[in-house]
Amino acid sequence: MFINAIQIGMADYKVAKTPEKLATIGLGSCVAICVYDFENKTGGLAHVMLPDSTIAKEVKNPAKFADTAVPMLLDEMGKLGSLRRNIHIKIAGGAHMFSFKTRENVLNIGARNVEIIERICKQEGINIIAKDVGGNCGRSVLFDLATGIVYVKTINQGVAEI
Amino acid sequence: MKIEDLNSTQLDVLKEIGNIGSGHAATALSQLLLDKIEMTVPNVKILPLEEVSNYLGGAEELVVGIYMKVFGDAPGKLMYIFKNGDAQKLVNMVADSNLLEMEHYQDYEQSVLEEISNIMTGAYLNALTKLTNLTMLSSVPAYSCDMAGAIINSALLDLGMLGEYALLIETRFSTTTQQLDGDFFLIPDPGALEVILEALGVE
Repeated sequence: MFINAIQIGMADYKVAKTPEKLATIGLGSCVAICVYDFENKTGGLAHVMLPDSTIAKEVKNPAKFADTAVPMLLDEMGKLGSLRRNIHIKIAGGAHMFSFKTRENVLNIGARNVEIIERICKQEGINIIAKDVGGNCGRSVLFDLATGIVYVKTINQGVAEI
Repeated sequence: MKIEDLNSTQLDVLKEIGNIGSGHAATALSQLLLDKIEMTVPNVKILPLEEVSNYLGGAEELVVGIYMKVFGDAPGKLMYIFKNGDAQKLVNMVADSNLLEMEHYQDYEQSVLEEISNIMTGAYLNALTKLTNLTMLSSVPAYSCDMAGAIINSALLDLGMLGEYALLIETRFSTTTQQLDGDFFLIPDPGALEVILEALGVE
């Protein structure tokens, strides 16, 4: 099902129109941000790695960070003619792949990624209408621009729709 | 020190560190399995973060990963990657019986692989400690059986990740009798490279 889709790598993004499908595979703590314009049936997907771009000296690639990827995707959607009120977001990923048995669980990047995306979306006034995040399993995502449905595949639970 | 600025002498030294460390780790594994272990000459790879999982194989391939942190003077991360079937072979070799049919097999697998990683890592870091006089200690191991991309990227990333590149000192090992391969990585933090090189008197 992922074969005829536009593949998006880590720290990368694409925007496209129906009937395209966007896909990204092997998300661990990374998060797929799926932006959808339900009027124009256009959408964008970014595969973000880290929560906060302010730690970097310069941000060469806005798709790498959660806080810069959301505004960038919204800009790109604007260029495709989308109105903010027609846009919603779905997210998947942000798992915690390795849990140590000791107390040392301090740096949970997955949860931080999700938290920052939620905060930025709130600031931008965009609704996150569905999410499949957290837990300890890897995910692959297929985003169908004809319907806006996001298919989330995991090794143990098969394919879920959000 | 920026990873992408390392010169060839410095890379050779890091390769030699991998060589010494994994030689000891292979000996430890060999004693554990009572089998001959073959090991490749270590490979030092400098890759953009987003390309690491592609380099290591398909992002969606099912693998077993064991992840440990290195603390002390030269901090970093350690990672073992086995293809799913190879992880099971290794567990059966250590147990000297077929555990696959047992109830709670996954628990045995996790426990056995974590212990193997502990033993190999101990040997690896001990060798480096003797060589450099630096303190290097490992955390308890953490196990995950999932998509390769998800495992590798999650192990690689941490919140303080400033650089664009990762440096991996990679060794592949295999057992001859069972056709079993494993991949072992030492991923020094960028700050640790300077400490290691300095300890060995390399400018």
